[in-house]
This record gives sequence, structure tokens and C-alpha cells, in this order.
Amino acid sequence: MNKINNFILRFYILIFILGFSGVLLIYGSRGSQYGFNAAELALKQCIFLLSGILLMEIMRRTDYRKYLTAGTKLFFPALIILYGVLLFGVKINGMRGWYSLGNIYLQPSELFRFIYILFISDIYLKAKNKERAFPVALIYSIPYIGAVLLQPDYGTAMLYVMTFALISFLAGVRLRLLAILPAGALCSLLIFINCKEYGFNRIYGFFSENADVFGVAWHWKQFQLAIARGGWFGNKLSGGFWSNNYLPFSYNDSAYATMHELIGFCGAAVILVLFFILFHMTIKKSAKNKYSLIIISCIATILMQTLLHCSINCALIPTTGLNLPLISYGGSSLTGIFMIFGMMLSFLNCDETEE
Amino acid sequence: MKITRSQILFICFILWGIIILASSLRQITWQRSELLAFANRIAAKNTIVYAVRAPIIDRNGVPVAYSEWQFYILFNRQTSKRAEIFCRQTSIPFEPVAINKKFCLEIPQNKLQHAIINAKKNKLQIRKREIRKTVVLPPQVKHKIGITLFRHGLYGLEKKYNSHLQGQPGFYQIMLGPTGASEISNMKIFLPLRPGTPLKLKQSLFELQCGSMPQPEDEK
Repeated sequence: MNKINNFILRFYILIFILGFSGVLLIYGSRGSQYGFNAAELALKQCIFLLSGILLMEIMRRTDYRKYLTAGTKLFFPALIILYGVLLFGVKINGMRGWYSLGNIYLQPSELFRFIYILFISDIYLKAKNKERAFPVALIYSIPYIGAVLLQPDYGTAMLYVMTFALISFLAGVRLRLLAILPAGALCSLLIFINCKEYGFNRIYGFFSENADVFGVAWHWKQFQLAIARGGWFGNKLSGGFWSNNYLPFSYNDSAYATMHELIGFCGAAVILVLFFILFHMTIKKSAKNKYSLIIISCIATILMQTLLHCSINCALIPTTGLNLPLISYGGSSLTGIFMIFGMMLSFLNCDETEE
Repeated sequence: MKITRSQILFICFILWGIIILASSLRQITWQRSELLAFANRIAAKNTIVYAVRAPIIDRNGVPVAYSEWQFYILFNRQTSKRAEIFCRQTSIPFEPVAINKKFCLEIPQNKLQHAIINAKKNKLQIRKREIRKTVVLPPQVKHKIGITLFRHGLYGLEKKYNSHLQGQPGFYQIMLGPTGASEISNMKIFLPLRPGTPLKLKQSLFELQCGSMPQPEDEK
């Protein structure tokens, strides 16, 4: 009992540190180029963070067996809601991905990630032959990912594809079978480049050395400039000139580059290490858990999203909108992450309950 | 010892993290000077800021010749319709003066704040200009005091004490965002601005108005 309590205490401390680093980053990045008030954004993020932690605690205390039955029950309503957003949702930043409830905007693709993880993991857990479960999981995933692609939210869609690959890998599916996924992703990428001009521009801007830095390679270059300006120790919270003026969505999609400008390489490295500690202590804890597939899938999805976001901001992969978990601004994203964590902690309780 | 798939995943993630940090490290070390030079090319703007010309004062400290800022709204002929609407909104009489193929309109001080907001909205430019004013004096006294053109004294005391009154202009570098927004914390001062020193006369304003010729206090 003490062991699990110690783990939860350490887990909560890490979440608090990461979450409040995000609040400070949002305050520092200001967002004034989009007409936002820094203090207002930071305060909102604080409220999202505290309510998210509360939600996580409620979900942690919920019996893990309820999640196992809920996975199948929730998957199809979630799918309907995801397609509903294409008809009834509002368009923000060129993407129809939000339901509007007055002043509150809900992004279902972020909120329902825990349902997707639960459902796909459940397919693998129930299957005796993992190889046979793979096409079944893939068939269920296609409409889910398709709904996100139609919004179009390429960043989140990429995350869903990688989450699927990750769960399949952890479930024990042979690598030969998993090779279908990169091949599929490559085909989708080629279709995307052919159909959308900006898609071509992004890929060309990334791969071509002669790309116009004032045109197609603009965002890619701005990330590098923000990181370079930060140096080793950053320009303090008030020194985010580049993030505030040149970076696209400094408080959200460019959070890692903003972090570099404000707290420098050393600060950003510490944040990244904290994510790794979170991952390591969870996989260590889940070693003997019979639901380790769900637990590791949850935490690995979060770490993978972090690494993908950082890779985009370091100009290692072509630019697309993807936020940094726990740090970037956004109520839906933060709530979605806390729901994943809440469910994960509930499954970690499983050993204790059975003892 | 058998390595589990979660351990393989952890190793892959660590390698990925190392690549990210190495990439960031490259940008803050080897590539830094090149990137910062590029950032300066995009955003850094050099500017000269002139000090307001110091006044010529009488022996009691009352200004005889002094500088004032005047604010103008500038617009091209093509956008004159927009300017007309703007002037109606700000209740400024529409009496433009043509300067270098552009229209120029003075904005009263009390309407300045409102004018700046509206000018931004209408994509018009607000410019300021320093003008030199002299109190009412007999012509020969006014001639002795002199006049200025583009911050330089043309003749009289204004010319003789030009460097004394003018001060030293400041040379600054400021970073500008794509919308023209700047932050004072990013300003570099290459040469600080030094204001001019007022020139004190031996006479009072009344004596000058009566026709007494102006003489600086330090002049024998």
C-alpha cells in the first residue's frame, strides 16, 4: 500500500511541476500577436490544470474493471461525436474540430484519446492470437483516424496512427506486420502532397536546402531562430520576443521552441528529462501488472506526443500542429491527458485491489 | 536476460530524446551566430532619435524660442477617401495639405490617442515633426534670435549655439515583429541620446519685447 502511495505522490509532484511550468511558459509567451492577454491565458490554464487533476483523481479512484467494460460501450458513441463535429462543429484555425458551448470549446479528438487507447488495447488483451487481432484493431482504427483527418487535424491524426502502432508493438505484433503502417503513412503523405498545395510546400520547405525562408520554410526557420536566441539559459520569462512575435501559436504548437527562448537549453532539457522520469517510473511500476499493455500504452502515448512535438519544433520532421502535453495551452488537450493518466493510475491500482 | 518490448520502446524513446537535444544543442552552439545574424536581418531596425531642441529662455526662465511636436496624418491620394471617413470620425476638419505627392493633416494633441487607433485601423500613417516657435517679438529681436530648419539653426543665436541647443542624437537598434510591434527590453543603445541645454538670456521677456537686443548670459 505504501509503495503505491509513494508512487502516486511522486507522480502527482511531477505532474504539478510540468503543469505549472506550462502556466509560466504561457505567461511568458504572452500570445499578444493574437490579441490575447497573458495573465488571462495563464489563469485559464491554471483552472484547466486544477480541474484536470481533480478529474484524474476521480478517475484514479474508479474501479479499473469499469473501464474494461466501458471501452466497447464508449467507442461507438465517441465515433459518432467525432463525425458530428464535422457537421455541427466550429472552425478554428482552418480546422473544424471543436464543439462550441457558449464560451467553452471542446475538441473531441483530444478528449476521446483514452477511449481509443482502451478500446484498441482491449482488442489485443482479449485476443489469443495477436497477429489475428491486428487487422481487427486496424479496421476499427481507420474510421476513428479518418474522422480526425477530415477535420483536417493532421497532427492529431499522426498521433493516433503512432498510438496504434505503439499499442500493436507492445501487444507483441510481429514487426513484419507493423511495416504496413509506415507504408500506409507514406501513401497517405503522397496523396496529401498531391492534393494540397500547402502540403507540398511544407514537405518541400523541409527537405529542400534552397527553400525560401521567407516563404515555404518560414515556420521551420522561426523555430530554429527562437531556439538559437534562447542559448543555454534563456532570456527569462520577459524575454520571449521571438516567440511572441514570430512563432506560430507560441503558447501551443510552438511550446518547445518558446520554452527554449525563455528558459534556454538547460531548462528545456530538464522538462524533457521529467517526461522520461514519468515514463520510467510508470513502466517500472507496471512490470508485474496484468494490464501493463494499457498502462504502458497510456504513458508511452504521452511521451511519444512530447517527442513528436519537440521534433517538429527542432525542425527534425516537417511542421504540423501538435501540442506539448501538460505544457501547451488548451483545456481539451489537458483534460484528455488527465483522463488518460486517471485511467492509467486506476489500472495501476489493480495489483493492490487483487491483493 | 530477455529484453521486453517496453524496454525496447524505452531505449528507442531515449535515443529519440538524445537526437532532439543534440539538434537543439547544434542550434545554440555551432549554428547560433549564423541564426542570430539571420534573426537580426529579419527584425533588427537601426534608428536615429533626435533630442528635442532645448529652448532659449529669458533670465527668469520664461521660454522665448521653444520646440513643440506636431502630429500629422499622412495618406496617399489613392487612399484619400479613407482619410476623409477617418477625419469625419475624429471630428478633424478635412483640410489636407499636399506634401511630396502625399496629403498631410495636422492632428490636435487631444485627438492624438483616438487618431492613432483609427489610423492603424485605416492603414494610414501618423508622423510627428518638431517645429520651432518664438513668442511675439519685434522683428530685429526675432532676427537676432534666428530660426531653425530641420533641427539646425539657420542664423542668429539659433545658429551660433546650434550644438549647445541641439544636444546629441541617439543611435538605437530595436527588434520589430512582423506587425511592427517592438519591445523595449530588446533595444540596444549604440549612442545614447543627450538632450540640448537651454540657452539663458540676460534680458527678461518684457525687455526683449520692448526692443532690447538678446544676449546670452555667458556672453561678455
